Amino acid sequence: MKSTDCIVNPDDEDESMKSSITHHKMDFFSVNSLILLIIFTLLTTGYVLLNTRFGSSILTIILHNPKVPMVILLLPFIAAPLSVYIGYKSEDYRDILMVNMIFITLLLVLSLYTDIANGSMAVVMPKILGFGLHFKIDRLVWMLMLTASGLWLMSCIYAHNYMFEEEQHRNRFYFWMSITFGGVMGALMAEDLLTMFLFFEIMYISCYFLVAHNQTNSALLAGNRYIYLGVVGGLSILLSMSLIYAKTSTFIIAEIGSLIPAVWQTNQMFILIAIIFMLLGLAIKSAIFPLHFWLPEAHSSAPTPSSAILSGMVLKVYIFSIIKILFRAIGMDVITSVNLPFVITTLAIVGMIMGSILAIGQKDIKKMLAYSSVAQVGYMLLGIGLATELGMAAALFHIITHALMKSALFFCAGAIIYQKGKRDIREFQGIGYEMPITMVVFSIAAFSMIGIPGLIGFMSKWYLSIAALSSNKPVFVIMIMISSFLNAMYYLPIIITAFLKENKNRNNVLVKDKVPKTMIVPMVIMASLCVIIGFFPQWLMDFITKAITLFY
Amino acid sequence: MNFLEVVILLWLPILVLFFGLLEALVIPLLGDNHRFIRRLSVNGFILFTTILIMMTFKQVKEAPIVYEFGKIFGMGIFFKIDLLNYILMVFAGIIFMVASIYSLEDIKQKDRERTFYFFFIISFVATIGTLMAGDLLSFFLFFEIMTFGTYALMVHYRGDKVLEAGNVYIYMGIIGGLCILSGIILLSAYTQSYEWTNLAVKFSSMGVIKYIIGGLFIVGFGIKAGMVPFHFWMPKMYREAPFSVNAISSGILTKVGAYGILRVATIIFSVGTAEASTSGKILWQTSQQIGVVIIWLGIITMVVGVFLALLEGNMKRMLAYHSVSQMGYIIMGIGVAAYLGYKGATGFSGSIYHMINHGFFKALLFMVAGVVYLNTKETDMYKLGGMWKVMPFTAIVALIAVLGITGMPGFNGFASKSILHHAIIEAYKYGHPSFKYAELIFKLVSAGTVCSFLKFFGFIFMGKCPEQYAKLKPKYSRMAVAMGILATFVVVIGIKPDFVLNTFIVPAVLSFTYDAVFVSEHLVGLNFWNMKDIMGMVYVYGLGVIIFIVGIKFHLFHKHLPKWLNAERLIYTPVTQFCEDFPNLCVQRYEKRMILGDVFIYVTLLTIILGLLIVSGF
Repeated sequence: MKSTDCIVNPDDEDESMKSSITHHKMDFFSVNSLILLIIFTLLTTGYVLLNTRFGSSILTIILHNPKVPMVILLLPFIAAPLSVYIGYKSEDYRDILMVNMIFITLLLVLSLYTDIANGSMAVVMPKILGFGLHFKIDRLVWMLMLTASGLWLMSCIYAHNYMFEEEQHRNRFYFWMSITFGGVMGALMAEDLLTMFLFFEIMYISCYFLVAHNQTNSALLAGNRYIYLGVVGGLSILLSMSLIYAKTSTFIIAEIGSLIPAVWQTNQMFILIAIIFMLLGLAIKSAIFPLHFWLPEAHSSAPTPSSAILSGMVLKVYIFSIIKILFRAIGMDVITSVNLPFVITTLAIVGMIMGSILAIGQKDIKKMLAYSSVAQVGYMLLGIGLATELGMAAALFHIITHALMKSALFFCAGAIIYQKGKRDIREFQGIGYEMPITMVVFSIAAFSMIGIPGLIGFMSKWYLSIAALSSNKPVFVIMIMISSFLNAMYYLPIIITAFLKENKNRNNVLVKDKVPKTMIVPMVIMASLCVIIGFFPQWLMDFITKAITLFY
Repeated sequence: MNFLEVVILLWLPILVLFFGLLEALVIPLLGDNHRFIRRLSVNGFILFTTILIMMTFKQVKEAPIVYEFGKIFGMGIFFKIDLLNYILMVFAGIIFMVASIYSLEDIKQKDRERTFYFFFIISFVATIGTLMAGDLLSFFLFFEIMTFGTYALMVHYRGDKVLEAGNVYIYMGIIGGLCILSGIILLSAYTQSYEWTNLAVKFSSMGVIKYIIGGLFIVGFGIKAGMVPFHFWMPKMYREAPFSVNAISSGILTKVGAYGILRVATIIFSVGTAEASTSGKILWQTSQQIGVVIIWLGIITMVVGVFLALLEGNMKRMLAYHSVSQMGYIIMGIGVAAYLGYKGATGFSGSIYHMINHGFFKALLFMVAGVVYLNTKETDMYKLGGMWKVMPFTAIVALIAVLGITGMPGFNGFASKSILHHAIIEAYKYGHPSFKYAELIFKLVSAGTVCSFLKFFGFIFMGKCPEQYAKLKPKYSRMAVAMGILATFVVVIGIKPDFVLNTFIVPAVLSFTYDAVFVSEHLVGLNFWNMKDIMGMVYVYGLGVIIFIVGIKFHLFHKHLPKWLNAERLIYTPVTQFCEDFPNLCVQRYEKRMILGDVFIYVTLLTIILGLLIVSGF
């Protein structure tokens, strides 16, 4: 009996630890978000019903509008300054504006589906930057745009309470969140190298403000590292672009793709240097292993909602651009003739193993998650490096997988920081009893990372292994397994500490999370998507497989 | 065909999964005021499931029942009940049922009882799912859930020591899982087969990869089954786990590992029925080679297990080592089945039979140890004694279990051990003469088992009772019920060994690729009470007693193995040590430098790029 007597009320010590949590009531923002989610469910069910009942012709008439991509692109850039203006008057209204803006973008992206279902949609903004901005949306781009807007929606809902309690300078945060969103959308849709470069830089600079948001010394240092390397990477891409332009006199990817084989015959060295610098630049920006060192600091010092989008989506934009440039602009023949797949897969393997190994040594949870991103980028790169359609499909599957898992993990880490103010994984004893929902979500996402069947991460490992074997490289399967084991080495101790170890200050009594619903709901949605797609991966995989045939 | 049968035929897996999930949802909702209902519902669910499964026997006997579920995991999954997994599923139901009755008194922590029963149900459903799974993906799904679910049961007592042992269990489980997964991936990529089917024909045209696949599966399942050299998790974990969990684990979970090896060795590597009678030796070659390896792995497991058990004074660890040793018998039987191929029916049936028998008496032994421990709080058997006066009922069931495990005629161990003995004799009769030595080792191990259970029974129940325990008035009515059920099984199977053999095992054997003539000669009319086997047992007992006397006289049982010979130190520790130290080293030594190296990289890259930009004249 003694042990129960000495701990009277498990809630007491929480109050002393964090006294500022007051913002739990159902405010206007939550109501708005709830309405949005309901609208979304209604619209998608309605769309599915309509699609089967009357055929898609009616929908095409309603939804077809060539200006939609422009609107998608411009909305974030318009909303950004507006949010600052509103933000000075009311923080709630600013958050509502942001969420609604992203929600409208999401709906607009959805409405594009009828146009890209069996082909692609090209949009040109003539005369801008002298060459005009070219955009093209096909199924793959559409899928990633949908993921991006979904992720941003979740992060913004999550950010409402989190930012209010944890961070200052919220107007600036939302401003740059919105600009980054526009940058991501633009970079995904870009069809010529110049547009891609433009949006890369927009994205890069706006992300700097997210990384250095705290304005602490370490955050500023991380930001500096981030921006310097980004500039180098940007210059490298610029150099490569200029080399390519010098030989082909066009920036448009499809045209480059048709011209390169001829140029390759005469100017091998020239193109090779161009490819090397293009990959170097993109490798820096997407944190491929030996050039990853800016990432852990940057992603861990950013506020949690932006960590989630940085790891979940911004990295993937560069990876997707690698796919776009390698397979559409440069072409398979050139790639295989310079033995590029070997280089890429080697980098991928080293990244997979070393990223995990460095993650095991981390004590800060967000830094650990960031290192885990380095390892996961290795998986995607492995899929790309196989240079087969199966491998590419696996890589794209993993892009989505990682977006879901990693954002869920970051959301959980944020919730732990929000409620307990702890970042050190050694201090998580008994936290599973204090924040059960958070830690269950964390466990689901972590098991998914380890590769427990029934979760999305397992399927992505499965597809990757099958792809590796179909191009006759069993070594990669062994590497994937070793990497899975290493994943287990750093995720399991957290779960074990959280659920099985006793806290010194309180008994392990189950209580509800003291985290607002706006933070709980996004992570639960992410985790349930992990489970649902884990059991029915073919919904996503069939889409990707079809998209890849239309991609070239 | 009545309504119930139709339901079972169509929806059995759905029913099990649905009620399992429902039960898993209900348990957390029932507060501590409803402990009785909670326990009743757990028992009820397991009983209900077991009865449902038992009812399929009539259909299963005619043809395997297949339940298909399209669309899951992309290619769809299916469950399949055939005679092999039917036996094990019913057996799993019985063991879980008995363990849940036993756990009513074993697991008494009020606040964590809920967690325990939650994971108990999860483990049960996962075990049934693993056994029932027809395709490899769903098999792996349930196998992993089983590993994680039982981990939660194993570490029920928490605390640093328990968690440390738990780490060994879970990491070994994950390594095993990953081995199995790589096996599955390789198998499906090279043969396009996602299920347990005969692949010998496909394998005959493949090179080394078939051995890699076989090796990965054997290592993966071997870890779960406690095969040497991956057995070390067992004594370590069992020492810290609750007794009822030990009973489950020894009773059925390790058997799932053995079941996996059995499926791989005698189904995947086996020839299909169509080709079996016509084809020559070439198709059986792979199976034969795998079989040799498995037989010797089994023999080594037997020897190492029994040897370490003899040196052990802790009850739980000793029983754990005996589990290892008895798993060796089973694995050896599987090996003989694979080695003799078309004529391997004896090994096959012996290993299944021993899985069941071992489950009964080993679970019973753990429960006996549990009763002794809960009343005396002592696990060192050298400090106990004379317990038969204090707890006579326990002493009787302990004696039954001991006679069972040592193979006394009239108890169930005798039946399966004689079949396994016949199997190893057949191995050298029809195969290579070197298995003569295997047979000798088999006898020696049996003698070692006898000796070590003389020790177990002698030190705990016989001799002088220590002062402080003489006045104990133990109350263990529910535990007694559980132990009584198991003891009844041990005795009943022992008295009528041919009933189980002819009703369940022989049909199962005949449904696989085995020579029907051979089966009818060697198994169907098998007379267990022949003089040869019984005399063999007499010699074994004599040898066991001699070892016991020698051991006591020269104090051999208190010796310890040199530290360097510990399998955990040789295999597990280096791996985990490396996985923990190397990252720390990397982080301490290189992470800072790598991060600070950015200036260097930055400057070099910038120079190169700017230089090239100028050169290219952009």
